[in-house]
Amino acid sequence: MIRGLYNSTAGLVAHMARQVTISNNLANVNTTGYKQDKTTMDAFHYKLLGMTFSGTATSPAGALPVGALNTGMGVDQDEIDLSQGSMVETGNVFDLALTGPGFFMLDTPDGIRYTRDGSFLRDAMGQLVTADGVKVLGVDGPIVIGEGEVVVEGDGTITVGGQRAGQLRLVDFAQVADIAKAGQNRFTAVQGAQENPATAVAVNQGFLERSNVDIAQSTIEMMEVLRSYEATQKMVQLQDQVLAATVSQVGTVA
Amino acid sequence: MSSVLRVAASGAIAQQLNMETIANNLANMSTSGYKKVRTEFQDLPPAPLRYVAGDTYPIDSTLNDVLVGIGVTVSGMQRLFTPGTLQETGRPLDLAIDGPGFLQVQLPDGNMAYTKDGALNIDANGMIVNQEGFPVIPNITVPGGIQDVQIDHTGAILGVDANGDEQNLGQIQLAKFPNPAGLVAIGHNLFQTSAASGVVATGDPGTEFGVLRPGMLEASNVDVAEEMTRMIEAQRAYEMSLKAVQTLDEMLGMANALRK
Repeated sequence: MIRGLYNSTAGLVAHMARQVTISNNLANVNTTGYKQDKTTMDAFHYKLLGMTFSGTATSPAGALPVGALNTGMGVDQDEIDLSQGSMVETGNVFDLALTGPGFFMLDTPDGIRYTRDGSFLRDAMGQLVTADGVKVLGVDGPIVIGEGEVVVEGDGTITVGGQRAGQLRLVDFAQVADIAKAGQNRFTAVQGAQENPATAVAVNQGFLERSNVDIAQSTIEMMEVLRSYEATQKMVQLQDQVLAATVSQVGTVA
Repeated sequence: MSSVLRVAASGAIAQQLNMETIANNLANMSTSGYKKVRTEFQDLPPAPLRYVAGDTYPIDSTLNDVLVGIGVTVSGMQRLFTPGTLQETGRPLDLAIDGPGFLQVQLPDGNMAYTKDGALNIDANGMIVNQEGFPVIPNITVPGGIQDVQIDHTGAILGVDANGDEQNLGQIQLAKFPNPAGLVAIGHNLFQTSAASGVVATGDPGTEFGVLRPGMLEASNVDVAEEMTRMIEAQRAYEMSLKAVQTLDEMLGMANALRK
């Protein structure tokens, strides 16, 4: 019985964690370049149950395997959904959006980071930076933009007043498990992951990529999690009642 | 447990700030020289799920901790210096700047301020001032006897006296910055420099600083359709976050009701 309570509790904790992930997705429904998390559940290890029997004169005591019992479920690391967000036109010269798989590369004080959030600026020294001053990396290092009309081509080449000023460094990873979220709309490479030049990506100047959170999907999932939580809660209450009966009534002599 | 509510609530709080920005943009849709503001959001760094009070962060565990996102925050308010449409007013002392330059004015405390609002006046002392009465830099004084003042697209100020003779009264200069988005707004359509805006450069109107258009004013660059769309998005995002708060609240209520 206690095992059943632990199973149910594991379910409650897992559903709450799922709800937190969904809430985080919904909170970021307006965040540029945000990629939603897909919750994944994992079953705990199976426990082999056995029926014990006492020994006889001819054979020793032992246990006969009856079957396997799942000992609960837990959350596994959320998988990042890298599907393309929709594009919104802003007309801003330094707003860049990527279509296709790939990331901008940033040189932050904490190391190299990757992002899809292309709302960039030219800082006081003329370097291409993010809104909080982090340098955007080009193929040859940080990009310096001089005076003049700035045009960003689809392949990331930047021309200023007709002169080539640099090219954005666009990278991609072999699998989605190679990156993890680092906050501030940025991703970091998982240990051992290797970035590769992105080939199937295009840069769009004057656009921003919206969050790819699917509101309808998230709402349905939220309802589903709520009802699962409710059902699990009922199971806990039920087992509590059975335990109470076991404790108080079994063994009483009428 | 209450921290899970904060994840959902962060969305609602962020969208509320977004709404305030949009409302301010819409309120200023007729303000000449106004530059719209855009709220920028960022997701918060993920936190480990198995967090027990008293544990140090990051948790020392041989297991890989599951990381969960913990909401959104407003990372900044970016002012967008896209040009507004130029509107004809017919008033000789109205100047629109067609380009990246700003007019310079001097505040009463002596500091410099910059503006795109070129509705100029001549004050009682004959100085050319802006709508607030702050003198335009470089100082230009119109001598008594001048009846008509005209400013041309190069910034040259011509005065015509009662006899019809023309006098050159001075030259309007413009200022520009490497990063206008780094300017600090101080109200009254004025901006001041900051470390982020970069070193100011001044010069005569022209191809580099922008051409002057006398008799015109630069309208606000607020696009009403765009702001309305963003307002709807903000409202829906706010609703969704509150829905998440409600759902979490129900779940927490169920957890509370486990044992009467």
